[in-house]
Amino acid sequence: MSLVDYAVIGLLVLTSTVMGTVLILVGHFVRPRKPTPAKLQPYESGVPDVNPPRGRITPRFYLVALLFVVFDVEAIFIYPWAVAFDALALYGFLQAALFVGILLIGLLYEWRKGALEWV
Amino acid sequence: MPLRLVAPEWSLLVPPLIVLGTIVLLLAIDAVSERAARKTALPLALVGQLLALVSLATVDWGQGATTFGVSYRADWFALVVSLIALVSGILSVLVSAGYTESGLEPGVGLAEYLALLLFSVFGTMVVGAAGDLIVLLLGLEMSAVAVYALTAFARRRLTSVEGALKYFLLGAFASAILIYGMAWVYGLTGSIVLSDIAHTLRTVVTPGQPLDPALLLALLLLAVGLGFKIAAVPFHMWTPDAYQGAPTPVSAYMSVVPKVAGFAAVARVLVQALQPLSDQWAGLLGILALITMVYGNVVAIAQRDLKRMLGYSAIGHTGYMLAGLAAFTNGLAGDRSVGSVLFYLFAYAFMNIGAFGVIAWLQERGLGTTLDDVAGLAGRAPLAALTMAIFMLSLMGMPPLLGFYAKYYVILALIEAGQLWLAVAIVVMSAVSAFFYLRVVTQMYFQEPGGTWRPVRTPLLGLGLTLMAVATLALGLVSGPILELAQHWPAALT
Repeated sequence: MSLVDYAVIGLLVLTSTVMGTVLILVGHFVRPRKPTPAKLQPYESGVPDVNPPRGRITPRFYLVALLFVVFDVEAIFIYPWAVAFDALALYGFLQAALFVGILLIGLLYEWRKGALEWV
Repeated sequence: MPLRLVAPEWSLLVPPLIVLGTIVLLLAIDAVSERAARKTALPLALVGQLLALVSLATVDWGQGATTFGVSYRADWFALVVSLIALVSGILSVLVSAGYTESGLEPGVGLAEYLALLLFSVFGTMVVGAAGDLIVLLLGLEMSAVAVYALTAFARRRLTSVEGALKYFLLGAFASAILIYGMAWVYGLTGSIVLSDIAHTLRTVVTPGQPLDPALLLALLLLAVGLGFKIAAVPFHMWTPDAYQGAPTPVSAYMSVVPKVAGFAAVARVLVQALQPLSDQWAGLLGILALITMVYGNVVAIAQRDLKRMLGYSAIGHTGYMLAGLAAFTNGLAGDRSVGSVLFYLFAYAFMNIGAFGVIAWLQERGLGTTLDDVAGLAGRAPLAALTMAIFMLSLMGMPPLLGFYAKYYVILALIEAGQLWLAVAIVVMSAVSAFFYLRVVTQMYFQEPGGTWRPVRTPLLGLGLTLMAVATLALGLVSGPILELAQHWPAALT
């Protein structure tokens, strides 16, 4: 346990910080400044803005995103089991079945509670 | 290479699995039929926790057996934490009985409420039995996240949402700091297993020498993160708002069980894993304990709202418990520090859930939560007033009530460890706390009643209050077995 082992990471952090700062500062001082409205757009060569970027987003997306994250993360647990399905034999299958069973109750719950409906 | 799944030692997992099964059952019933859930949820939550409580007797805790590798430890410490969590859970469900019948807003399910409460109990049991930092963190978060949601349960009342938001944001922030501290500990010792960390540190740290700065940073990060969880000053800012804003039965619950989880985590991380650094953290906890108890008790004097007052008093009690941990002396046989804190938490569960329970009882009858609302209670409802008086006197530390014994054992631990200044601070602060606890009693007994009184029947809530009042009165006198159970901790935490 010695901090010296982390010196490489420290060096990396230092280099990237210094490099980034220096490049931005050099650009800032060296470049010619001739602003036009088109140049001040967030995406200089893109389509003009339709509405301000800080618009409000309906919380329904939040619910959908939450459910997605929950079930997406759980898929990660199923993948390794599926890959090693034959090696893990019956006991592994039963454990995965228990896991999927609890997931099913969760799905049933959110379905019945109307979380899947776009009210 | 052939793969083999190692089966966990299921028999060690029976108590938490019963709680988990109850939660799944609650939610499944609610998903199938909300009407059936309204009828069965409360008895189910009670029976589930009672079964788990009984099943504690089926595990042989003395062995300190581990399963899931060494991630789950079924030792004495886990037993005592599970015991406190389950008893508090049962009492909280009883206290919630009135609120869940009349107070829940439309569209908010009773089963949801109870499932969240049980999730938090389950998380606390996991913290108690954690053998490594990851499991500890998972349990701690499970215990806390469920309570964030419970705090916001009166979702149309602004104070409830405000309290929940403050609790959540600061709690999440604290978790980040805690995890950062854990990452440093892992980076320095190369292990997340608590006993391995202690082992590695013992080879590196020489007593009397200044600490490696990296190790000191890790210790400070952990202390800050855990300080938030147990609401120690200066990390207490969320406490009064959350306690006042939450529905009263939730305040009752959150004043106890997440705190049990927090102290269990402190014991597991500091006393078990960072034991070789005890010189450093015991001093730190002593200072934290002093400012926490002074701040909590002094500020509580100014409160007119009973829930807010109990919030500050809870901060004060955190200070007393931290003082108990500060009495830890490495390697001294017969060390009482952690045992006294466990007993304190056990006692605290009865009197604090009880005090909030009486407020919930009053709210059922149409009264508010300020000091004026309890005025003249002795004339209206002598039994309720007597119950409240018992809880107030016990929180104050009046012999021979349970709260007195709790303080007594902490002070004893401090004196044996030679930390007289903290023992004196506890006595002085108990005297200060008499002011605001006794003010409630004088309001109830010597003032004229005001407000509208709506007589209703709340049998389950009444049963819960009776149980807690009797326990507060009597358990102090027969505290021997519980204390003895709590004193087994050195075997578990080394």
